[in-house]
Amino acid sequence: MISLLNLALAGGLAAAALPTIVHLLKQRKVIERDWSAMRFLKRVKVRHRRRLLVDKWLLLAIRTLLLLFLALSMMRPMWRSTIEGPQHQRQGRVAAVLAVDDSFSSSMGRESPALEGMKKLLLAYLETLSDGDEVSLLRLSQLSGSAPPPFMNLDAAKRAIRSLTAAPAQSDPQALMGAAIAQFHRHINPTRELIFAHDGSRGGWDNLPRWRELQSRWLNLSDELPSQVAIFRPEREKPYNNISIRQVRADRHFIVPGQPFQVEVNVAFEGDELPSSVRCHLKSGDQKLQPQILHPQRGSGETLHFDLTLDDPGSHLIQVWLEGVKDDLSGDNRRMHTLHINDRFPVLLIEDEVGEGLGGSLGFLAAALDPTGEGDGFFDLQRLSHLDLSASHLKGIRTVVLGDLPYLQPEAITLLENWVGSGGGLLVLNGPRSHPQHLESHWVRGGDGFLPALPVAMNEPQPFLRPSPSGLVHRALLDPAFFEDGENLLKSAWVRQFWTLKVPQRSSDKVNTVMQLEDGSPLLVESPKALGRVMQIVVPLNGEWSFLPREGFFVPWVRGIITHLGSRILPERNLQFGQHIAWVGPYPEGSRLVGPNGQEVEFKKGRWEGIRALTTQRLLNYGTYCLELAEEPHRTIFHTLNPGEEESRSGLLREEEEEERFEGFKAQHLNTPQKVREAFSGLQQNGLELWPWLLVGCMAMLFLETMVTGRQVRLEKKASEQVTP
Amino acid sequence: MKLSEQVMAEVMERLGRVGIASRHAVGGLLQGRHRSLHKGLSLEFAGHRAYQPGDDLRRLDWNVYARTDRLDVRLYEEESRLTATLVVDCSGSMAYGGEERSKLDTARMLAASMAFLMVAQGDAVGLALLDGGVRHFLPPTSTMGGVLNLIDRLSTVPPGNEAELSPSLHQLSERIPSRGLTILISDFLDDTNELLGAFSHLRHRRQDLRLIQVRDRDENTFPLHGTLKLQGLEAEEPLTIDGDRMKRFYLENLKEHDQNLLDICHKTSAPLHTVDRDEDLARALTRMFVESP
Repeated sequence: MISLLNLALAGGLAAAALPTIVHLLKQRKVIERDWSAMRFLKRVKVRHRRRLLVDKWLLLAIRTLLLLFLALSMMRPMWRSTIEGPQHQRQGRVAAVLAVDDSFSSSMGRESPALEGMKKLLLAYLETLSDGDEVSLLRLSQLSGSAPPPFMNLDAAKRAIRSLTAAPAQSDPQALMGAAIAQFHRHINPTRELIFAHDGSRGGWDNLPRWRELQSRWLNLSDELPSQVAIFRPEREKPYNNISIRQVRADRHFIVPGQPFQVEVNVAFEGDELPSSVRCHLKSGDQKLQPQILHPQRGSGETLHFDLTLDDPGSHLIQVWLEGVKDDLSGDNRRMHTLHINDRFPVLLIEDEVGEGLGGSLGFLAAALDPTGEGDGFFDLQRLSHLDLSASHLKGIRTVVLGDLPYLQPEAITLLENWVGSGGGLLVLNGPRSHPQHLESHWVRGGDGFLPALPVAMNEPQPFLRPSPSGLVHRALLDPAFFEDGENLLKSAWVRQFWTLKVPQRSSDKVNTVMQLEDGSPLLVESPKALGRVMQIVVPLNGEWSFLPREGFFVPWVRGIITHLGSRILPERNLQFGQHIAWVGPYPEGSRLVGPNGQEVEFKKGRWEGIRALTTQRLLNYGTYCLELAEEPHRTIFHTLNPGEEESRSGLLREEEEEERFEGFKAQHLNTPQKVREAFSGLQQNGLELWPWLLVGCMAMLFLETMVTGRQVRLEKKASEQVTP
Repeated sequence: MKLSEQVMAEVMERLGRVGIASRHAVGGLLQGRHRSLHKGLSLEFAGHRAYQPGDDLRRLDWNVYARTDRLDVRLYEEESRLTATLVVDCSGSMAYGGEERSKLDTARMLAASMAFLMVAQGDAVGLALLDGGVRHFLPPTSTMGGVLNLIDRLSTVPPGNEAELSPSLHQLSERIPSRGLTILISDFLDDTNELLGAFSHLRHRRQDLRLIQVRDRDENTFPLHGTLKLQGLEAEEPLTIDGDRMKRFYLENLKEHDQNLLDICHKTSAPLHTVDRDEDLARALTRMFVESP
């Protein structure tokens, strides 16, 4: 019985009609003309009628057969004695796609990594194939590139498998499966075998709807031709144990040179054997701290704290690693973290009348930022009357505070709006000197001005109100105390008077309430303005309307607000797998970005958060990326890419979970080379593909066609030469 | 322009000294430049005729010149006059060719030129126009008026329809005088076996045969491509052919036909001259009668 393995190309049969169509078209286009020797010509035609007919139909038949054979050979006809048999019987040559999860976790295993076990299974499978079979090798770590062409040589495929190494890539089994299914379109052999080799790590397997979608794609594909799926997962000899550094973080955003801060290191443990004598090291530059001994508990992690002081402003790299660990996954026993040390923070305080010390409308705020008043702290303060404000005063300033001003001159308003729009942070305090009419017509302007909301009514609540301790999750409120003990901190922070705000309807900028009073009235609101942002507090901070400046939380509170406003948000430098590095600053010529393998990483023009920026491709290699800026003084900005939690805290995928995900694929689950051989070696081909014979027929027709036309041309030439002119 | 004027302008003025001679002895009553069959007669004066370029100057009659200022040549009895018949195939196939000059036009001009030449050398020339039979037959004349009449007839005859040449030649053989020169102008694309019979018939009538084959270049090269519906010039049914496929067979058959024609020419001692439809006629006549008399 003959069946067609590549029915999709059945349309090619139509090509066989081409010679006939050309013949008919040629016959339809008849040219009429006079001729003299008609009787002579008729005699010639009658005399050679048979040869004329033979030439004509012979050539037509040869050409038709040529195309017919070619089209048929592409449809892969196959002769089989029977089409009955096991579903996974190999019928004809095999198209094998080997999908290998060579992600970070495939290095799992103390003596023998999981990847080595996967390689043994794959090599055992290749032994069951024979010449003429096609093999594609898809590596999870290389899915972002173009799909590799199939190997036609089994030895080359074996060499490629032997050279596999674990890559610093995040596990994504669904993406790998999707790519493997798509890869079959690059194969022509009829028997499809999808081999999915993974390390048994649980990371990335949870998206069940995506698995179901893959199942339906596979079923659609396997309807056409005999297909099967096999899951290769190497057998584990020892119980799974893994200890990993999951997180490294500093206790604050703004770290001042020379002032100690705390680095928090979170270490997780999974498995049955509790590790002992494991020490955690921390190092930054030449500074190496005293290691700490871990005391892990079963089923939980441990958090360690290191006190670190960095003296130089700029980008710093912190390296944390574990010593004395004997676990399955060594790659996550080390982690990098980068942070930035800020030198000074210039703040401009604008008042109605410039006061000294605690005097003036911003005296308390100035004291909170610079308690000694000597200007040697982190905050570099400058106090100024609004009448004296000019563009030169705003140069280099990161945050401006407007302290309960009765008005601003139009020039000053324009200056401030431009400055905020270009990325500055502005804090506006409303108090008894605020005039709603002036604010509405000049500062708010129906939503076009820089002030987020219009103070419309002054309230004097009875009894007094306090700030609400709930919902304090804003970045400006960085102090952990706000999250841990907000109610106690705010219990006596009474507000006696405040302005009720009205957000202009026309405002295109979103106005967020950062803090509110107990009755729900906004206390602190925030609104973005182009690249900068503006915050507005409905009370003055000089003690006239509230007890806020006298409370303990006041200093961290205002510091958080001021630094939040003045910190232009920069792209993240501690990245996750697949993220990009973005650079928004000036990029001097000669600068370069060097990846963990020492190779330069290219920047291209792109955008980050809607801002023009230089961006890289998706980062796929774990490690440190150093941006070396060719400027004076020379600067290096560190970026890090560490394994995600999915990779380092994944555990093992249970067998029933694996079967659930591959249920629709009707997959075989194989974990030893012996089982692989048994499963595949018995699958002998029981059919004969006819395409080589058809190609031979095609070549024969081509030869005949060449012979016949060549003979005709030769005879015609000879006849032309011999006629007496 | 009349055919006679055209012939004078295009051919005769450029021809120069060309004489048309019979290769065999002819039996005419009048003097001419051809060897007579009537042997043993004395060299008796027979008359004068006007001098033609190429005549032997020794035969000029100076006495006549002295009296009349005319250059006349003396004629004697021992030279016999040639009686020639120009036979032109006027069948439809002879109408083929460009708009300027068809094969029949070429045949007409050739015939007219030869008529002028022969009368000028004192011979008598007749005309037969064949088109499925003898359509017109003008008996031989040796006067210029007769020649002009002959040319008029030649110029007015239209191409005919169905025309096998051989039956017409058999018919003609019975009408032309015995002994003489027959110059046959045709494309000769007829059955060669039939032609052999017709030529033998003419030879039997003691005719010295000369064949002039007028062909168009297309007939020799068959420059036809694609599917063609060929319309004949002889009112036949149109013929549909594949030009590319037919070319080889046509050319092979043409070659065979030409070879057969040469064979029967050899058998009947009839020299064959081939003239292209658009060939320069003065040069063609020179080639036919001077270079290979």
